[in-house]
Amino acid sequence: MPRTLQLLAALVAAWWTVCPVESQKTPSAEKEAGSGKEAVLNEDARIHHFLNRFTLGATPALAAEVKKKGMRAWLVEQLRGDREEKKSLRDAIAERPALSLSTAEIAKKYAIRVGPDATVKERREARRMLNEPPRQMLDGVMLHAILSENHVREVAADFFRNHFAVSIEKGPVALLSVDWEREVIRGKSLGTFTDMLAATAHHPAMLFFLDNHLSCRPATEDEIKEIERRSRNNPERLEAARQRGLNENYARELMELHTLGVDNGYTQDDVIELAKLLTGWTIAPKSAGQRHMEFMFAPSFHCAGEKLLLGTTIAANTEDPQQEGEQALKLLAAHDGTASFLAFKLCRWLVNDDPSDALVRRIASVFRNKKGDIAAVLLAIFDSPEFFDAANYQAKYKRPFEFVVSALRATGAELMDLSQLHRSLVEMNEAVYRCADPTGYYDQAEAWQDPGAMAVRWKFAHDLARGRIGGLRMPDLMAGLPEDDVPSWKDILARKLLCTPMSDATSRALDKLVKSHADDNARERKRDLVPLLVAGILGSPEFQKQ
Amino acid sequence: MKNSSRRSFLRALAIGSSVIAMPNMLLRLSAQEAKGETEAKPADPVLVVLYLRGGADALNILVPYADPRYSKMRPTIAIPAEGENAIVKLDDRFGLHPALKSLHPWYTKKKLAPITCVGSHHGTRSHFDAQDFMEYAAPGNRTVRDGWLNRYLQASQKQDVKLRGVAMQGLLPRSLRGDYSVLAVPDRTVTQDGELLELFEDLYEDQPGMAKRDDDVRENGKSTVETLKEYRGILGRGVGKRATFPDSAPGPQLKDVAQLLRANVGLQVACVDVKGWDDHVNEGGAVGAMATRLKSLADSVAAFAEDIGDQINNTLVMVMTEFGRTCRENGNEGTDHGHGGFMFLLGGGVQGGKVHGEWKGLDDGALYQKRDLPVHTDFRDVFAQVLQSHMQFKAPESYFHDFSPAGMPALFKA
Repeated sequence: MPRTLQLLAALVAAWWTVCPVESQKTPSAEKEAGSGKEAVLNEDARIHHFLNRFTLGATPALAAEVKKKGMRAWLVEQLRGDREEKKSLRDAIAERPALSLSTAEIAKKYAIRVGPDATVKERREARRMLNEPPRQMLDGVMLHAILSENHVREVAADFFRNHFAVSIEKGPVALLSVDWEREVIRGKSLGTFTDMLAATAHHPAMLFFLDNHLSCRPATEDEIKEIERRSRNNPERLEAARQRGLNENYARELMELHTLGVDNGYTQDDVIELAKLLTGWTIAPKSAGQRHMEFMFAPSFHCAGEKLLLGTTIAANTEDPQQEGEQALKLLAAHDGTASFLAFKLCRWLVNDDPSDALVRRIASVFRNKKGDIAAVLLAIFDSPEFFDAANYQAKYKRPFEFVVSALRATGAELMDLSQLHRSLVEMNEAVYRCADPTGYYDQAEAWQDPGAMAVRWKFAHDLARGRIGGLRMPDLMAGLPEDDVPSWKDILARKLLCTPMSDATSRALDKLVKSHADDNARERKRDLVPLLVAGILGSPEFQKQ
Repeated sequence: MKNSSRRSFLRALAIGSSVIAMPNMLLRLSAQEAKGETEAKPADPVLVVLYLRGGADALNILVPYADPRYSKMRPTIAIPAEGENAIVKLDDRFGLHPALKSLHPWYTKKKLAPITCVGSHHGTRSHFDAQDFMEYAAPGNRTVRDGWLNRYLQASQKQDVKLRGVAMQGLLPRSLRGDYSVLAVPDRTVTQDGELLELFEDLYEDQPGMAKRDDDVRENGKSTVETLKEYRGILGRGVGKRATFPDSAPGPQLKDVAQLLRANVGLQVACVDVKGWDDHVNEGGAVGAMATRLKSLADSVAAFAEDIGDQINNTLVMVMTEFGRTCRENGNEGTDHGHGGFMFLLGGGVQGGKVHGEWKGLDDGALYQKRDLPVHTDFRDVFAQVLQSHMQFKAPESYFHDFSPAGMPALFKA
């Protein structure tokens, strides 16, 4: 047998063993226009797979749209990220006024200073106001994830929100997060990685979260003497002056988490050098007036002299020392290690938990050649033969965020108050913007597959199906179900919610449930069947996977 | 999973992976029990931690009724010292909130030891930070990521005991997070709805011919069902006459813990969260919102202590909260976040029948920042004694990260 045929036969065999779905068709070996690769999944399965990875949840409407336009053409359009949003999203965003404000405007409107004589009521109101911007920001994340027409941008935003993780639990990050989410995460996630990295490095949310705003050259002996003389009655100030110095936190994570990846060719000396290069990158104090809480370069914090980063000498720039840090960021963004690390993480996000070296190498070279153009990298992943490999179909486990968002997209629940939804994610241990570690949340299955966590998903599926999640209004689940043909319900609901044929076990389990209810002629019991079917489908193994 | 060290590495790093359950351990337990192996063992010490989330108002729980400033600071919410709805007197300084009267017999029996002015010296008034610091037993240290009780379970690991830790809610409290596998009892609606459980059992049934990569999700679902069914089985087992537990929290949770103890499955540490103590508004006094919660708490604990019978002698119930509240009431008949708090220790070999901890009165000078109860007893001093005297566990030097127990007067009988 010729090699290609052998391979095809093996893949067909693999498809048969992994997907024993009831509506099995012989997979067609059609050619996808422009991609030049042989497909082994049938067209519906390919579209389902594509939507699973390049959107936050498939729906029948989306599948029809993609089918009509063609996957690649649809993706190319999506990668521009400029589709107009639907009215429901625009209205929901308009109801959350903080979302369109700058940090300065937010500080002015929501950070109300209360004097020492303020009443309890005033204090409480001040606290409530202070919580508004992050609350609205979190709502905005969920609303966009569920309702946005820019599906691919939301996937990229989800990736970078975790890649450049900050937590609103840390000090002023809560206030800064509105701008961060809008301008950096959603704003830059389909641009170039170089721009995105620079945007994160200049953003006060990141500078604060990883302590770079404190990083400073150590005080000289003369300076300490001077401070000692001036602050005789203030030992704390003297202590602070003695303690001040480099903070390596950001520099380390910048290489370990944001660019090169852990242990990828940098040393402790590089961490120190990078920290020195970034000294002075801080946040403007109150005295800066209008610019308060914005990025500021403080020359007096900066470590003078030449630095050596990853074998490259960065000369001291006495005119404009901030440029040293800018140069370091460009060096990191363009580094081969960064291309490999980002290619690896994106392939893990979109293809499978353990992407092959060959795929990662190919995607890394696209990353390098296209100078970190994120859209081009995403398109290259789509075009790679591995993407539609049958072995990758339904091979990734949904993170809690992906599970919750896809369930809401599938059911089309109306979103009025999102607070209980946020709480559900807390219970599933993936509270948005609350990952205390700068690693962000993991997307590999092994980080999430614990039995206790599975039961929480089932409870969520059941609560959602029964309309027990406060602030959400479920559509009439009975709509479209023929009252006199109860056995057909499960298939109708599965087509709508799952967008893919059920497994035998799921089909059998739901049949059994239907039988136990259908035998009973009482109307009540029949109606009660619908939420149980929905809970079963959303809690099924198929729905946990993508 | 393919690689267990990688898995535990991920687990240690990702806070998203802290709900850990041991699916098969209950099955093994049943087998072990059937052989009667658990019968002969001497009773292991048991610790039940009730965490009052939100910062419970210590001053209206352990009331310094003799201090004239107490009622002045709380014009609408103070508990009267005499008359109707008066405090339950403990000594010449303190009384219990009247809603706690079902605990008083245990005080009289010298099995209940309240501690005043206990807490963390860290000044945070954030719920999140204060709970974190306390449950990791490392104030101000954000690098410690194993809870103090999980560290105990790790360090005192025994080969012959299988189910040692449970949390009575789906989300594991921070104190129990860490490398040692602890069962987080999932939501009761899933455990108690038989039809729903059967549905998920059917859904996660084996698929003949299913490829390996599908097995992970299916295996996970199957072991979840097994765990839930076994757990249901233990709870459904007849173990004789039961005490009457309140229907409100933490009654049902403590009833289940008591059942696990009576069923002898080797339980040593159980955690129960009791929510809703952030009484900024309409806290109420002798009656009202907090009084209702306190009654439920006290009646549940009293029922638990009665239900487990003689096992109370090797079981310690700890009631704790992240901080106390302001001494003065606010303008909304409530109180705001404070500093020093309280604890209750009940059972085991506790030196009960007296209020522990230093007390310097309510004069401004005696208060923390002239507004809150001060902290005279570091909570870690209590934890250390609980581990050493009750759990019979000698904590290593590094256990509490930069802290050596100060050796407060003994809370337990020698």
